[in-house]
Amino acid sequence: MAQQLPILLNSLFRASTLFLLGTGLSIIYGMLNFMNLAHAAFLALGAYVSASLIQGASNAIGGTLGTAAMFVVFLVILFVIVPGVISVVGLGMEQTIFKPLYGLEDDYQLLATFGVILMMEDSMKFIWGGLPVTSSAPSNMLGGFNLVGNTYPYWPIFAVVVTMVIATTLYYFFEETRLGKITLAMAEDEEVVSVTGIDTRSVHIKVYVIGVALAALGGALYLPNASITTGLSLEFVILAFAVLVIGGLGSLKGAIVASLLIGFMQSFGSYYVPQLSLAIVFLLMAAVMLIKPTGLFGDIKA
Amino acid sequence: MSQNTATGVATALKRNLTTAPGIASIVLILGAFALPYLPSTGQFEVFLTAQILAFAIAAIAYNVLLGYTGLLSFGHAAFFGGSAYAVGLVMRYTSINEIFLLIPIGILAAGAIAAVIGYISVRHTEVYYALLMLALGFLLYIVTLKFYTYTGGTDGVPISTPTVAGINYLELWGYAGYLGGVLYYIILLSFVLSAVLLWVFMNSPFGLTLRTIRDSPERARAIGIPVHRYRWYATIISGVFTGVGGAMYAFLNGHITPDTMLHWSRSGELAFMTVLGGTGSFFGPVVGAGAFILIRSQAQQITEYWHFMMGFVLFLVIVFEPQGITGIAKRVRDAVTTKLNNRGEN
Amino acid sequence: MAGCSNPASDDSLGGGSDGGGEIPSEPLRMACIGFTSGPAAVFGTPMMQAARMIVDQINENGGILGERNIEMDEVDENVSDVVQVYRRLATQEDYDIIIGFISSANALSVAPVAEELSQPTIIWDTGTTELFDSAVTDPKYTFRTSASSSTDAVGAARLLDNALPDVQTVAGVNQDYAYGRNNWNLFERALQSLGTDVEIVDSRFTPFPNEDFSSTISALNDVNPDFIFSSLWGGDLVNFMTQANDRGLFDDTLPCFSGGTHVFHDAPNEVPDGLIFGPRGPHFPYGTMEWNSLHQNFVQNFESRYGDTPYAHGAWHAWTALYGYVYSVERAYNISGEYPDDDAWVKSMEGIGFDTPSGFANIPKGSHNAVESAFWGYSDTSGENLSLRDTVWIAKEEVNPPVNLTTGEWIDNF
Repeated sequence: MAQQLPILLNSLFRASTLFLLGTGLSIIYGMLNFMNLAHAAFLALGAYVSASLIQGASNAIGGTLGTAAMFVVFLVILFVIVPGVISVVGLGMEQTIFKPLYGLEDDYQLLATFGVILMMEDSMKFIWGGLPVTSSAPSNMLGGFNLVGNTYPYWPIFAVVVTMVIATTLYYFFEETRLGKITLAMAEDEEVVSVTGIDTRSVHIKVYVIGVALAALGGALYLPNASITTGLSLEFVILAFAVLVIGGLGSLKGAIVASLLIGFMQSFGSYYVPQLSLAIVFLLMAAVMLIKPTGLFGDIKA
Repeated sequence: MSQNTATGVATALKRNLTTAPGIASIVLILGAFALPYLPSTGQFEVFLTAQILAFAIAAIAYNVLLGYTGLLSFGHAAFFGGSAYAVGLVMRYTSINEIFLLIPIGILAAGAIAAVIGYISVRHTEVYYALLMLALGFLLYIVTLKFYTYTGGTDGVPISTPTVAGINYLELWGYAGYLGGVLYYIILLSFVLSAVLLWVFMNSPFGLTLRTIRDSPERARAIGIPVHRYRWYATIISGVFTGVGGAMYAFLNGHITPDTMLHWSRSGELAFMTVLGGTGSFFGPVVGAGAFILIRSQAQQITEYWHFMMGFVLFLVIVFEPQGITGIAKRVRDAVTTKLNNRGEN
Repeated sequence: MAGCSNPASDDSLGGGSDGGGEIPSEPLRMACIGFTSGPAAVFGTPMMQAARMIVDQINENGGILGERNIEMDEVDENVSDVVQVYRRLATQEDYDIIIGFISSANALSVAPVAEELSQPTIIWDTGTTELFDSAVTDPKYTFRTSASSSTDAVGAARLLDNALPDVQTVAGVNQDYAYGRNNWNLFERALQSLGTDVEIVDSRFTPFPNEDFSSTISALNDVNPDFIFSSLWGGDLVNFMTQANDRGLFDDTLPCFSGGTHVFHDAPNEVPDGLIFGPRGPHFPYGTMEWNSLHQNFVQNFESRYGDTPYAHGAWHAWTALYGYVYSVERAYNISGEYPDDDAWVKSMEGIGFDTPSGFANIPKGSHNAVESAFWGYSDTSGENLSLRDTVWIAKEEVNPPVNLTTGEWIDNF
């Protein structure tokens, strides 16, 4: 049983990345009715910007600060600056290239944003090159501990805790705050909401920025544990859709459960039945769509 | 719906063939038949035209779903590649080496895959149909990778030159002779035959039913059309003809791999071609296939950032001209006609 | 010993007129194809850089035979229709020589087309043993100037057999596609055929590409092997190393990465001291490999031109391919007095041998495949540059099949 502990933690970390990525896609589609295939590129962009900033900070002030102070600097970069920067980029894109797509059918949004993700991928390649980029400094600073005879790093645990806090906050936001309730109402019927005099465009932008910032944060938390290369966005696109389809459109609860489900299936799957690890997500996605077409927690009819 | 099929097709035929695009199509097809014997044609032009024709078959078939039935599919690679792999694996494991046996084998495989995947997927629409097709189609990709001892895994399967009606033209005429004199014409005839058959289908009551479903599934249901079943039929027909394109591509390319044949990005390419050409017109996807392959070939020569250029083209088309190149052509024609009419009145 | 002549000697480069035949005045047109985007850009980018640098150098010295300039064009291998691109280069653009291909699927796709079009083609990096074992069994116009995966896999097995007597348990981590499967399969068969006294406790194939290796590493930690053979490369290798470092996998397990030195460039901070690395042949910039002026010139020129170190084997493979071509043309000219046509070039390539920055390279008579020795070392993080220490070479004959056998036949009958 104790043997399973590392895999359990692996699953939770994987689920965290998927949650931060998938939730954004799910709320933007579910509540704003915008099908953005390019959403996963914000995760990649977040990871790239994190890498550059961490590198830059280490070079600029690495020698002058102690480990603890440096770690705080890294946290500020990863949790504040990166989501901030990517939100600004995302907002710029929203104003220019996403806005013309809002009136289109889902199918056409899917195709147009397929074009956008190709452009974003190549732009990132232009800036950061085609070679893998890493920056494991924040994770190395935290180190690891002994777990059933082997070292286990603190970073994934830290990332899981952060994600749990974010998930709770989001939950509170959508259930308890006025903006959250308006958003949920907009998902049901945007016209009715706009008649009551609420500025739906401003709500729209807020929800969109939350989604983008979450993806960027996902990239920032992902990076210290792995590397980033061109093509990563396309890998994550499928996973983001899996979260959306399995959890159900626009459902926060669904996104949480779907992320956990995929995280567990992938981690335990690649441990016990590595032959299937590639197929697992697709089988799960197809199975859920057959049994419950609206996803596990979705009630919005597609 | 009550109109007689034969008269319907005949009327539509008469209506279409006498228009300028109709005449242009006939001229183009005649030109295509003469192509290998034109003085300025090199081997590469023949190859490229054959490649465009192979994709054009698949793109017309793709439009049966996207344009006529209103379904976006990210699973067509399974039909395109499924047919090609059926051809490749039969050649590898049996002594069958005859193109007129291999083509039906490929088509049957594509049809069977489409029947299974389609049956499951047609209960959903829009993004959900697209994703379910993607997931199920991708399983075929994974299976091909996993059974690498049989399928060659990512290294793929070589497609050696087949005999044509029992004759080995490669030995007789060399490769250039075989390509320009035999294979090219098989692909061209397959294209013409597929286009004619699909055109007849789409202008028959069957095609009309699909359009009714596309425009309003609820109304179609209300007048007694079994919507799911018709979507399923449409998926199978689309799959079968996509399979024709896949088999042609395999013979032409000489080697197939899962990444070029079965990966979902191949489905995305077919969608791209179809939209680029225009979903609203029967021959739009043909134009789209040609434009896509030529644009990409040029982009790849100009820059390593050709993905960016392709993405940009796709984005522009959807935002500014969702009816694609044929949409632009129609607008130009309308503008010219209006101008001419105005002048006539003055 | 014409087969071992070294046209690199200065007199043959300088005096191009000893044969007297006419040297074409128009430049030689050469297309170089490699991944400058996508995951395999880790090999392809330095490869293209090296190719560009080498062509410039040759042209500065007057060109082939001191007279004919090379006009080189770069083509990204990351395309979805490689056969179409190849045909365009061969028939429409009419390149004299096409050099390229990193992906084995691509090499397998174009090699038959090269034969059918009689297009001189050099495969410069692809490892698959299928190329001349099954895809083109009787090649004429296709050559490969690098060794196959046999060098890596059989090399690692011999290393284990000869040099690591303490190893008792062995595991594998390889990518779940042809290259990874091919490598592990050859490695396992070689161990069996050698009768090495080790137990294979686990063999893991991970999706390609893959960002999450954590559970694979947990599984390896559980079986705790003494030795891991891995042909992982690119972002996958970086991810694996990062996550394995975090999880202490290498504390009591010695991994051997057969094509991994490119991470010395891409992710230097993730490379721990004391792991075994192989650069797919003797292609390494520092340490014991700094053996002659060719090597020193190559590394120095690369570093001063690009501000980077050629850690990836691709850069070295580019050297062998380009000079292999130039030398074969010069050799044919010097022997016959005529500038070679395609058939004469083929004859000259068969059996050629020459010094390269990574040792003596040769294509044995009767084969179209270069042979290289295997080369391994422990990562050394102590110096100014990341390097390899306690390096070993394994002779060519020990890691490459003889001309008349396929790789499988040879391994099973050690």
